[in-house]
Amino acid sequence: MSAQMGMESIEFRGLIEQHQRMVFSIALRVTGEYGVAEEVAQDVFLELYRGADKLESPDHTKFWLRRVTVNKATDSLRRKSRRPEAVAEEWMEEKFVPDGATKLDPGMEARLEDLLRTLPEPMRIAVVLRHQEEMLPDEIAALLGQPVATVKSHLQRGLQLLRRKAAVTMKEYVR
Amino acid sequence: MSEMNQDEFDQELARMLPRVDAPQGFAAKVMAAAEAPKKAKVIAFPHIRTWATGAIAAGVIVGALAVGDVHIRHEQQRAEAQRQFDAATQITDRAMEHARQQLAKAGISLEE
Repeated sequence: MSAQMGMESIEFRGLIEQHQRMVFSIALRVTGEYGVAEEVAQDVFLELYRGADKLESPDHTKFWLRRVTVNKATDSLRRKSRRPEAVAEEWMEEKFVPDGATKLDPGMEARLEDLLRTLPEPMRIAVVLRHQEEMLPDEIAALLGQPVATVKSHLQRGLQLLRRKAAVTMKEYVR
Repeated sequence: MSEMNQDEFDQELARMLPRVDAPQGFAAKVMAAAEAPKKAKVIAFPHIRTWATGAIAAGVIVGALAVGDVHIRHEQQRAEAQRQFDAATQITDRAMEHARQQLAKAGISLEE
């Protein structure tokens, strides 16, 4: 059956083991839910299993996996009509500018994940791809099919929003 | 509160957003799903199965209604054609009879 579908089981298992952390982490940070992220990641690999013969190289596979994961994760959010982000515009107002900038503390990590979930979807995706996957803005733009300027704007606004939220909601961790 | 510029914040963020491990047994679960028969996959998505069943049922009903409608229309057309044929036959018979009477009056017999 595997041969019919264009991929041997051993090869497929190798690809899962190689990329599961990447796929699952993107899905988790975009959807914000562990169970949903697992479903998304599983769907991504099943689609890989069916269409792997179209992938030309390891880089292409990685690019394809990231793109399909982002698409499936955002589809999943839309299907469930969940909008985890808070009203972003409110946080962009000047009244939330902290006195100094925010110094991150190790204790903040869990709270930062919570704050990430509150970012509007395009900003959250850009921040996850930039800071988790360490992709450059032009790579993110190619992956999402968006202009580089749009990606840079999402990144800049996303980070600004995170810093402001961190400064206001995590005072106890701010040094 | 210490000062931190955007670049430092970027770096801190990258450090705080590492990849996380997939759930225990994830690879095995995906392998099992990939190699499971097609039927199992349908069961895994009951909302799709419900939708597909509904679509098929609706298709069958629409098809049956369409076939019934076509059959009724054919029957109506056949009955109308028969009625027109009968009317035309009656008119022709009357015309023939009239012609025969006129010829008889003129002393011409068609039987001869």
